[in-house]
Formats: sequence, C-alpha cells, structure tokens
Amino acid sequence: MQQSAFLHLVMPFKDKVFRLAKRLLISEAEAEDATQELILKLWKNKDNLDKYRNIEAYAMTMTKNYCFDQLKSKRADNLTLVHSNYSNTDTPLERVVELRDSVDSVHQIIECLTEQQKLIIQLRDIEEYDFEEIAEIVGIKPTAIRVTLSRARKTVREQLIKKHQYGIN
Amino acid sequence: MESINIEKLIEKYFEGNTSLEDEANLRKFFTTQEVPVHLEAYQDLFGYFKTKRLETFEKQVLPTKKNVFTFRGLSIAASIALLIGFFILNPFTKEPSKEELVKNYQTAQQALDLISESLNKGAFAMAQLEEFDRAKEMVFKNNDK
Repeated sequence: MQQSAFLHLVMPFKDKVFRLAKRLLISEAEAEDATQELILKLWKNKDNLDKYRNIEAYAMTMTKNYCFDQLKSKRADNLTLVHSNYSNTDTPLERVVELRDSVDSVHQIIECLTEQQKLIIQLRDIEEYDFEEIAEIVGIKPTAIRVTLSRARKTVREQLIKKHQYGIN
Repeated sequence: MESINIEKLIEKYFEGNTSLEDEANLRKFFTTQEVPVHLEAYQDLFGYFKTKRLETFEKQVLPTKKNVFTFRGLSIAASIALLIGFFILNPFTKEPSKEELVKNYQTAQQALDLISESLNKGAFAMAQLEEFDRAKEMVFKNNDK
C-alpha cells in the first residue's frame, strides 16, 4: 500500500483517535505521542489492514488498549500527574471567558469518572458511535454498554447539579 | 421543541435509552436557543460535548521520507568515518625493524644522489648555454654598430 492510500485511509479517524487518547491520558502531549504511535503501528501493519472489516473500530480498539497500558505502567511507576491543558476552540472571546468555567467544570467531572466510563462517554456523547460499534471497540455487549453509559451520565448530572446549586458557575 | 418533550428526552438520555438522533436533537436544543432556567445545568454538558468534537490532531501523521533519508545518510557517513579512522590509526600495523630503517635510509640516499647528479649535469649544460649567450650578445652588439 502506498503512503498516500494509507493516509487516505487513516485521515478520517485520526482526530477521533487523538481525542480518545486525550480523554484517557489527559495530557495533550501524551495524547499526541499515542496518536503518532498508533498510526505508525497501523503503517507497519499496512499490508494486513484489508483483513479488518472495520478499520476505524480496529484503530479505536488499539487506541483504547494502548492508553490503558500506558495508564497501567504509569500507575506502576507511582506517578500522579495533574493536567489542566484544555484548549479552547474558536469562540468569540467574551463567550469563551463565560463558557470556560462551565466547560471546565464538565471536563473535571468527566475526568473523575472511571476509565471505562470515560471511554464510553467519549465514544457515545462526543464521537457519536452507535452501540454496536462501541461494543466492537470496547469488547463488551451493547446492553452492558448501555448500563455503564447510563451510570456515567447520571454521575455527571449529579455533580453538575450540585455545582449549579452551590452557584460555583 | 417543547420543554416538556425535552424533559422526557433528557430522562431517556440519562437512562441510556436515547438514539443517536435523539441525542443530536438534545445537543441542538441546548446549543442553539435560550434554555429554560431549570435546564441550564445541561446546557454546559451538551455544549461541552459539541466543542470537544471539534478538536483535531495537527501533528504530522507519518515521518516524512526526507527524515528517513537523512537518518540513513547520517549512518552511512558515520560508518565511512569509522572505517577511515580505523585505517589511519590502525593499531595492528607493526613497527619497522632497524634493518629495514637502514635499508630505507640507503635507498632514499641513493635516490637523492641520483637526483643531484642529474641536476649537476643540467647546471653544467646551463653554464655552457650562458657562455654561448654572452658570445652571441657580443656578435649582435657589433652588428648594431
């Protein structure tokens, strides 16, 4: 497979890979490394990619596994890092200032979820995959995904309402 | 969309029972219009999802061929330098013996003798030439007068 053909194949989901890595690894730099690592893995394996029915789902699964491994080894090193590098997108300045607080609070709430919950929220609420695809990526049944998703969303709601009532926003 | 309808949809959403289409409607509702006060908390949530989807990966996807080439070039250059260095500073060349040195000295001297001999021959010929030149000048001087 030529490089251009490969890039054509990878381009549609590279951002999704990056966003998932960032969701799980939190640090932007680590997410970038993970994305490059993953694309390189796909490139090395380019001659076998035809075998996969859904390359995007395969790439997302690989990303998930890679990030979980990274987290595991980081934990083994007993490192805890606190990151707060949320990039703001192109919204007019006044709105950015006003939005940042609320968006940050949602971000922080999601950051406190379990890894599995983060993963599923990311895949469903941000990347908008259907349950069958998520099941394929995560490797558990669609019904189990629905349950995890519901639990994660409810946790987020609880925290969000709490914050609203205290007037932190 | 009616607020009551939205509330039903929100409940469904938290149960994990909304379809992708329902969720798109929720996002649209919370990000494009005024939201009733009691639902404001959800505005942040759906707004957040929407903005997060816009993030992109801007780094180079694959290392360029140029980079690969320069790396290869560098390694070739390094190995050539190593080879040359090995031959120049070869620790395995043996010191020449005394006899060999004497023999080398003698051959060098012979060669130098040979050169000086031929040089002297040349110098003698030049002396003759000078003599001829002087004689010639005398002749031409007389002619001029």
